[in-house]
Amino acid sequence: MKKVININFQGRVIPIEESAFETLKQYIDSLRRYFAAEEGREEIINDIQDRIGELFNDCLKTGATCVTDGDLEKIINNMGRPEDFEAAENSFAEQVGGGQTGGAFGGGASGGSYSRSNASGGGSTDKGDNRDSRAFGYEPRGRLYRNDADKVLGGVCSGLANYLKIDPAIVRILFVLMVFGSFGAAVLVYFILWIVLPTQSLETNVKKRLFRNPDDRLLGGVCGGIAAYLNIEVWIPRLIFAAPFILGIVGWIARGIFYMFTDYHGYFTVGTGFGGTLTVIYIILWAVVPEARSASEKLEMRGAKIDLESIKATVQEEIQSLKDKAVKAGGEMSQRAQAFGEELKSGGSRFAKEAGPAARRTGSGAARAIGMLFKIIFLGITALIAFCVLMVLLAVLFATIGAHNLADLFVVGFWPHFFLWSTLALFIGIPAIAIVHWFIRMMVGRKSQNSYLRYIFATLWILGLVSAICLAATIFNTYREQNDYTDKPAITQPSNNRIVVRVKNESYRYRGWWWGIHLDNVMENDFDNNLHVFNVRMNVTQSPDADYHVEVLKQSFGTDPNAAADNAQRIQYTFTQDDSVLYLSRTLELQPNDHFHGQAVRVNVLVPIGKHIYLDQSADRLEGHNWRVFKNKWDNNRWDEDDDGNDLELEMDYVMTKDGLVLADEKPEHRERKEKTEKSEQPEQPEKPEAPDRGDAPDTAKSHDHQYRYHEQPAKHKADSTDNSVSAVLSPGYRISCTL
Amino acid sequence: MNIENTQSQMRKGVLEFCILSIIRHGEAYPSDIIEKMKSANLHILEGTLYPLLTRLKNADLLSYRWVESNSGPPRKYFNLTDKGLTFYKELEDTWNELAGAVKALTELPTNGTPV
Repeated sequence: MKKVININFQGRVIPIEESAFETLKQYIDSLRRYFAAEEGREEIINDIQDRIGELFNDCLKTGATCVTDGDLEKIINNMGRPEDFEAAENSFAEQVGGGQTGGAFGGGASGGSYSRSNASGGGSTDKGDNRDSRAFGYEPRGRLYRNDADKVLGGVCSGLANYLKIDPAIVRILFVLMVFGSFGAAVLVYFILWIVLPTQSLETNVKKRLFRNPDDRLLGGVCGGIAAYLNIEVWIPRLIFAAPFILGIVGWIARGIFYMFTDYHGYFTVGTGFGGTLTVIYIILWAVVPEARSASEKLEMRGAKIDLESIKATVQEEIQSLKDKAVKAGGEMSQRAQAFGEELKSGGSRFAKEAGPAARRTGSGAARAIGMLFKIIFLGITALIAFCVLMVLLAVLFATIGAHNLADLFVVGFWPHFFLWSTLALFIGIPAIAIVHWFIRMMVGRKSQNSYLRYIFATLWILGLVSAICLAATIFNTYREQNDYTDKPAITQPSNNRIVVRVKNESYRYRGWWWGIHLDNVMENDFDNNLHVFNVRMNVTQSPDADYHVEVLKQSFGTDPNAAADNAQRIQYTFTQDDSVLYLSRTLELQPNDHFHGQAVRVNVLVPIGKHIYLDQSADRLEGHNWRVFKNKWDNNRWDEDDDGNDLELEMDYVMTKDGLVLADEKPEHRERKEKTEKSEQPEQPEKPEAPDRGDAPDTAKSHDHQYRYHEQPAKHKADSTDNSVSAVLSPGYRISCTL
Repeated sequence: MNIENTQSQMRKGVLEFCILSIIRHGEAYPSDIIEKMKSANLHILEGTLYPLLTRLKNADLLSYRWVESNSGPPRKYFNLTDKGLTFYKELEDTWNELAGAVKALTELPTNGTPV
């Protein structure tokens, strides 16, 4: 039975038998001793380790679960042992070293390769590898340096982290927070440290580092890195960062639904302030946490599971490496001294060399921050726009599906219906799906693999666009021609030469549906009820004879004049008369199975010369709910809103003269009568604690009251009242257009 | 006199030349070089290759760059420098001379008398 351990060997995770690992260590130590006098010793050993790592990998690729003693034996035989090199190598080294190239050795192992070898040996996954890095890396400790090997600006934070043996990311985050907290004073400290501290390529001495994960990124890979660091699924940090936005979305939808289906108009509180903080944190993390570029860094990013076992192992290794170090200190010393001399020599030129990259890095750091900011803004705006578009699309989609019965009023026949549904599904549905798809892809972080999907989406959408155009064409086709039909119902002549016009307040449940079309019980889907269209207006004109007349002009659009006339004829409009009082309905009715064609009704009251007309306050109901789309399109001059007819004031007695209507104001009894009307309403409803408004709210469901009132009022009209107080003043807004 | 030692010495003598000529044909990283040598039936101890590469590099005959690899840590890819190229050319001349000489010598008629 053999114990297998995992080691991080040259940036690879290798499961290896513990005994083989011991052999490996001994072998590498032997190589180290063998090459002790060699110029690029660390580099050579590093290269050899790289190769061994590669061979290990090959071993594992063939299906072996771990590297065994036998595998290692084979590899070592292949590589050769120091004693194998010895005989040949000596003469060879002489040849190369002593020959042409002797003088060129002065350059020494370049700083770049040296730090590289250090860095790649550094990451540790498990106890074994830790032993590895401790044994192989001779990083200087106990002094504060700027870290040349790992820096964002000057390597101060990284050096500090190295000194404190913590993750540089933590130091950087704290530093940025300090900069914010100290209003920039920390920047000064940073620059002082930058100037004061010497540089050194330092090996990472922490087990696990926070990196940004470039393989798993939406924006900067921050969430990916956090997930790797904490060893959790990537969607968890993403969800946390996205939560405020998601809450906002849910809140928005919920609010929309509430507004749409209920009368609730309150506020939903959604914690978006929290989201702002998280966004700032994200940006800081993005700026501060380095990206894991190389394979070894990626390995470092995942790090090891920190448990008691590994901590114990680390401590043991620490002790052992101290022992090893003591042994090797002698050999080290001479090398160090040599290196130090070189460093002094090339000090001047190195300083110059360093200034360049540092400046560049500073520049690139700032550029990165700005670029990042732009990217966030750009992506944020894109996401916001996409989201808004999605909401609009969904709203249209659901509204249309929810109100498909309503749509039936506009859309007639198979093809229009076909176009309607294909428009909904393709023109509106496809972009919605595409946006949702995009959001999901963003969240999951997967790039769309097949571009076919895009083509399919595009094709379907274009089909939808065609459908939309066809739909629009078919709908507009039904509005091509307009025609009217005039109904002249007989009325009884009022007994007192005065006609009073009132407008009934039919109670339709007001649901705020489309464009002022109010439907009976729309929400109950009760489409067996007739459709009521609030498109009724009234005119007062001179009667050609001595009688009062009422003309009902019904208008409609249609695909051709005949169809339009037919549509007009099918309009149902009812009014009732109670002696002198004319009760107009404020809606026209469409029969079941009729469709909407922009129907309108204009009631023309013809008043003979010398007789009176009085418009009750309720006549106001006719205006304001009119179908406005066609307001200025009446071809008939009489209906034209822009016609310079006088505005008729409500609750005023008018008399028809040769020249048109004039106020019968001069006559005192008129005024009295008017007041009487006002007063009569109040004593009528003593049980009501609150007297109803003069203008009475048109949308309230007080139909009973109104019906009652209007039936009773004519009787009361003649009733005498002595109360002279005039409480009601007509607002100029209460007008009804009238042509004379 | 150890026969293996001599053989190995013979191989090592041309090793440098072989390495340079492999690299001359295109950027290569150590495992490439080993594979090519193996396929050419030239067997060496791998352990000797790395010091050699480092020495050649330190002598400015080779330069290298780090190339990220999908399957593991970054790899060192070696290139000939200008100096390395002239060095190689000289070695090539020497080798041709030597090969010609060795051939001439080893293919002498067995009777031992020059023609």
